[in-house]
Amino acid sequence: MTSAPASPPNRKLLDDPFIHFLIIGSVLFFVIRFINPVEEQQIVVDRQALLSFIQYRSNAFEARTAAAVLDNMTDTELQQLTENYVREEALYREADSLGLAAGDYMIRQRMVQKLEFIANALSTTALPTDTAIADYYEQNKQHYYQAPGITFSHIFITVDGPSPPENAARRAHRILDKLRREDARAEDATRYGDRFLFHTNYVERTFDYIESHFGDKAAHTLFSDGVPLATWSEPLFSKYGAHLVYVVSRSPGRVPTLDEIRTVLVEDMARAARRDYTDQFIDTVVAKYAPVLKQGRNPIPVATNPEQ
Amino acid sequence: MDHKSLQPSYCTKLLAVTLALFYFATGSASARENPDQLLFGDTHLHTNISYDAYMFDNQSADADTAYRFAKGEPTIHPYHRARVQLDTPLDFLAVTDHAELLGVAYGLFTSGDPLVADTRLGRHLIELTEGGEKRRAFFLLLQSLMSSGMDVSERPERIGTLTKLRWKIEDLFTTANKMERDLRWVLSDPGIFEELVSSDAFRNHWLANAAAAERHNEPGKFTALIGWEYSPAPDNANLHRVVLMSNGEDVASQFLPFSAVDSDNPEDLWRWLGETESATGANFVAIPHNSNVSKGRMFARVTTAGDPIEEGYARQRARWEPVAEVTQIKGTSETHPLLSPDDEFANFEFFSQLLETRPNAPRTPTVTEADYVRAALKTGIEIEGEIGSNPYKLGLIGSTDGHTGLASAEEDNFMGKMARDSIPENKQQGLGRISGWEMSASGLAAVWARENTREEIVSAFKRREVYGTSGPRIAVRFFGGHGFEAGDITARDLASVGYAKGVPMGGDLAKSTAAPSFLIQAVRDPSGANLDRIQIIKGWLDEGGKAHERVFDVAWSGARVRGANGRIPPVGDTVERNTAHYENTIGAPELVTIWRDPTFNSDARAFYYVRVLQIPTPRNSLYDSVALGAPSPEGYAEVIQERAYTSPIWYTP
Repeated sequence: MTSAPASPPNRKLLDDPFIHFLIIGSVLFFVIRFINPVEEQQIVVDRQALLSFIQYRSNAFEARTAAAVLDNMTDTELQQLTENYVREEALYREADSLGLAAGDYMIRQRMVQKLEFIANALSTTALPTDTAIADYYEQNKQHYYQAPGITFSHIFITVDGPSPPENAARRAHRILDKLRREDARAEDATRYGDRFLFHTNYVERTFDYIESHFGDKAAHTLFSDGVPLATWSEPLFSKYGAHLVYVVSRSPGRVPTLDEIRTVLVEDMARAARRDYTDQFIDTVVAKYAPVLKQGRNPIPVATNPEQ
Repeated sequence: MDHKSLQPSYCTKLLAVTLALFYFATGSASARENPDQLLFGDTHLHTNISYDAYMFDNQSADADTAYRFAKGEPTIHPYHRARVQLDTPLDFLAVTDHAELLGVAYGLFTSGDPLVADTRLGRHLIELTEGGEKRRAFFLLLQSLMSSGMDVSERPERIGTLTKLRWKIEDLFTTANKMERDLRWVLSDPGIFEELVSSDAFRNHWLANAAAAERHNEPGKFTALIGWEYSPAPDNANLHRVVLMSNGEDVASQFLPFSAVDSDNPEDLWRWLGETESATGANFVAIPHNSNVSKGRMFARVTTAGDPIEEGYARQRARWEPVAEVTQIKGTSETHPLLSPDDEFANFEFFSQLLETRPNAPRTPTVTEADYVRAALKTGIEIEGEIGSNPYKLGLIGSTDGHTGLASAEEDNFMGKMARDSIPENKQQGLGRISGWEMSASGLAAVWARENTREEIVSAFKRREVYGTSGPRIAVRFFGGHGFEAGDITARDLASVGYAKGVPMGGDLAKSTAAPSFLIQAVRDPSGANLDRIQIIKGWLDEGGKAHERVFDVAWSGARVRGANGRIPPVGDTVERNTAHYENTIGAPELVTIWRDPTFNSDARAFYYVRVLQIPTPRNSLYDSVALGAPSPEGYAEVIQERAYTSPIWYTP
């Protein structure tokens, strides 16, 4: 090759890849022209087009601001904007018609994301009807179960400090006699006994809460029917000392009524709807396509859509 | 879906509960006027729209998740996807995402929000991430933020098209210098970063967080505070503040949070807070945190410009920053053994790494008086002695600073600092050079309030009737006054006695000839460990205007006798190292005492605060090592003595 005689200039020209490119390009151009005869290509520059152009360019999606910017433009600026818009639109259309988007992974990902985003946004529009709320409540009410609760006041007699353990029970009984004599009620609890570490009054508290303050054994007793309602109990004992308890009420564990939790239900429905809608949307789209697997050492089982 | 229109039956129920509480109202008539509700919460929590939370794998736990978890509902962990739940719900929570880059990472990589994705930097970051260079993308984003305030004169020249072309060609042959070039490109044109952060995406995310708080706020039951984190880090020194407000969405929607992009000078934040309060009726409080990694800057004796602190600065600072966070996941900011050599319990949960992002910069935190809150309290009275105004009259709280959207401060139920370091197997690796075991499952803010509402909580922060714990719900009452008698410690209505005869934590004592005494009650976490002791930390000014400190043991469990060295012997340790199990066979469920200052000088400014110590319990690293069947990781304590720190009471002659 190195010793080859000099080729004539025209021969050299034909070897140049640039010339190949030109030739192939022109051929392709005419073929495409032949298949897709060019119609009059128009780029309409109207107010709407310029407004969205301004907003995308400035990344500020505020129609009013954009309108103000547009209205305050000088002729030169407006002309510049129009030229830029035409330039971008023309290049975009040309690139699009040449199929440059195909095989661009960035664009693939962006389009996928946009569709998911749109699905998500679309789903938020509808407010549920009363019937829908009722149905949702029926199907999900167990999620809203409220644990059993208890409301009581107690008088505490410490085993700490001045009174030795065996005295606590005796002292408790003395106070109990006094309570009965004075016809004391729940709200009088603070007038008797010693200060308890935690509270005197417990309103609508759960078992776990009471257990953490009184210990397991006393909590079970309090929640059982062994302690009568609306009267001072016999002393019961926790690890801290003796307690005289006035139980105001015990509420059994229950599912709240629809009206009590309507706001929460509506909120949860909206969340669930958004999620379902997006999932469904994606499923519907995916179902439109049949995967054909042509690669893999072993046949890969493909989940078939039951609806097809 | 109007959250404000209460359903009739809900109203009835609320009324019934209110009536019941009223019916149960106890003690003297004034008792209802005193704060009698102890609320525990977290003022500092990040969700998936904080850029760093997102980059460390919290892509899904949003504000809704955060409030639900805080209320005790089961939720999904953003990293390992298991169901997680708090044993004891919180009473309040503030979701405080970084205002800087709010929602940017989420917008770029999850929602594909065109407002951020269609920007020059946005496109480049997506490109990097899709090319498998997530770390590089994160680093670039962070560096862009750090350099956002850079002066034009310091910036590199704009990058011309020719240079870009040359880089593109070079990229084909080598991967070296890419990071440097990216950074040069971003720095060369401030507009590149600005268009990413100034878009409407910022507003959208801020409004979404405010709306979530509004949905979850249930006055009387659970308070959802609206707030954000202002995160300036000049020279990579942490000067971060959480900003909270007592107002709702209606006020929050009138402004965009002030961020380090606006200014990294906290004095500008205070100015903005004042202006925004006047303009919108907002009611703000700012809370500095992690002074432990502030490189000697958080509680300095000088202003940002380096001038000595003057009265105007001191007043401004004290107005906006009434409390500081002394404990959180990134360690303790109370004090350090080098600053408090005589404090035998000062060696507690240090954070040993600066938040340094530059590759070759030193990473060991400084230990100066400007880095710790106890020293700041001392500096405060010294400055007050000179200029008559105290810039550091700080109450003390704790909070988590979790980035998982899950407020967890319990060693045995810890969700991690970031989502990624939430599982034991990831902790060794941790977050780059910071091990997951470096993290402390801490802390909580405790608030004495009349009711559980936004207004009451923020007002408690302002009067400093708040305290912090490293996680457990230790109840602490602390009053200073002059008429306390021995019998008061058994009083049925201890708090009424405290308020009647003294001032609560956060308050002031005026000049007196007799030494003040203090009524202190500490009750253990009902579902936690017993208490070891109550201590009082006193700081005072000597005649030369120099501040000193001393720790007093004032109440302790059992029959321990003060040793020859003046110290109470250790309480013991029941933690089994191979099972991470402990027993409440030592310590006391409650400690109460009255303590009179034996070293009182009626002419000397002083402050007193309480520290309550629990008996030793397992640290999160011990739970992990037991779970892994591996030895406890070296360099980390197996057991810790969790604690509560109250706001001080100041004596000003």
